[in-house]
Amino acid sequence: MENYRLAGEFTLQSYERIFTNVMYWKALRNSLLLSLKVVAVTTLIAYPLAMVLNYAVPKRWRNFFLVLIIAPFWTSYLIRAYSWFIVLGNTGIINTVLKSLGFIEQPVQILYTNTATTIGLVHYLLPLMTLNLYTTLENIDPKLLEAAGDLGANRIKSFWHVILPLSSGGLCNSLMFCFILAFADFISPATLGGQLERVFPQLIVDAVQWNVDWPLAAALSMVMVFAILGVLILISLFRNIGNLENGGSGK
Amino acid sequence: MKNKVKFISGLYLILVLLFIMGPILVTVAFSFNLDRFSSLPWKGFTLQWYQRMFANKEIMQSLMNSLILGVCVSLTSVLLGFTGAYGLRHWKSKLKVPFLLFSISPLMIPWTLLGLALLIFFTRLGLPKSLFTVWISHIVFTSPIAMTIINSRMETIPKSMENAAWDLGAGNIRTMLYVILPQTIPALVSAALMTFTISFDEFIIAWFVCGFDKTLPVYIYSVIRSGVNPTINAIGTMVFMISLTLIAAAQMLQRKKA
Repeated sequence: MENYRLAGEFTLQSYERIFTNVMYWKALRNSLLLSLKVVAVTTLIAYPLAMVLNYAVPKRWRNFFLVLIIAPFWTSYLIRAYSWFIVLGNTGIINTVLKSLGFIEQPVQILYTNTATTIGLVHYLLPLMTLNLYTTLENIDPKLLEAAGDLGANRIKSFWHVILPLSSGGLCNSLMFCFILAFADFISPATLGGQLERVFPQLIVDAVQWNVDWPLAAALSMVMVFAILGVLILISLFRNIGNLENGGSGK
Repeated sequence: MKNKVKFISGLYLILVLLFIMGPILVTVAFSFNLDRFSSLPWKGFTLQWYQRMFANKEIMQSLMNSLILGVCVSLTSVLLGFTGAYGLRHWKSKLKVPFLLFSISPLMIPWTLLGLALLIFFTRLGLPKSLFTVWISHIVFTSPIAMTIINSRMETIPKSMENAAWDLGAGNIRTMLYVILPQTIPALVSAALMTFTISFDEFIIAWFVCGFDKTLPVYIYSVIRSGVNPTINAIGTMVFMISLTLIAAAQMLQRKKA
């Protein structure tokens, strides 16, 4: 191995290269925006799904549906990302169907865009998030909901004042968990995404694969870790504020 | 009102399930399609993509690599996981909780970073990249998983059973072999199946450290970027089947009472 320069002297050169290069700032922004978008979309799908499973699906069917939802998580993520090629591609199912129905004349470019990356990541994280939120909701005592109903709260009120505050802890945990996975993910952006909006993990892989510049790759990793930590701290602050408010309204 | 809520809930459930299962089912379906562009309309049933898959030397070599890797990883993880869990059971120390947290910490590091760290580590050691380095890399995070699964099973065995065995004159090793081991076997098998599946499907770390010994995911990644290819549909279907069978078996074993 001729090309490793890790044993050299201490230097901040790699960090300087990162922070003075617009490309890295752009990638950091792309990564942040992408992972926040992914987490938001996943939550918006997963939370109602967990509610449906917990409150609308009869008990004996719950495990069956849970297994159906979670099973894909245990299969190859790479193949799952690939499976979207057939659905989203220019001659893919969506474009073929839209064309034959006469909605479009030219195929819509979905594959190799940011949208495709988002879909791939949401598809990856949805089972995890749903399982997490389902367990959280399952732990909420149904008697509390009955009590809220007896006290005259309608569905929306009891959701807002009972279910949501009591699930905020589990929700924050799932948000953090999914954020880390979305931010650090390489597979969806590299397969489904285009080359225009590259994300941070792709740059790390590039630094290893093309530049063979390991100090740079290591420095990029550290920047990524701190970016992730920053957002995690923000989420946990948000949770603490939420807790204070609950304490206040409870009195 | 109530019926309306029920209807909307049911519809929502079906739509999300369609989103989750749809692409997977499509891949499976198109692996049998005669048309080589994997697009509608359906041209007819064929098994030729499977024939091509089995005839392709590169695919079979990487499949072999992945299977060998999976078996080695799962056996080592179970061995380490069992000894780890057994040690934790009998270790009375203030360091127990910090040790537990430390030993599961590889699970909290993004895999891209773990892959990079391991690549740098192996190069500094002077180890050439091969299936061997992938094996070491995978057990870094599969053995904590195995330990967690085995530990939760071992915790259900009352300490009094071991005490009884010791009173009757059995030594430490015999107690472990005849009291603890038989009762943890479902967890051991389940951990073996799980870690096999994780190792079999793992891409990014293997990509960093595999060198020329491509595993199946690394092979798939190398051909995936060029677009849809019905042979990949066939590989995908096979991979889905292997993972789902093993995970279903693992789950059943974990639920089974002793």
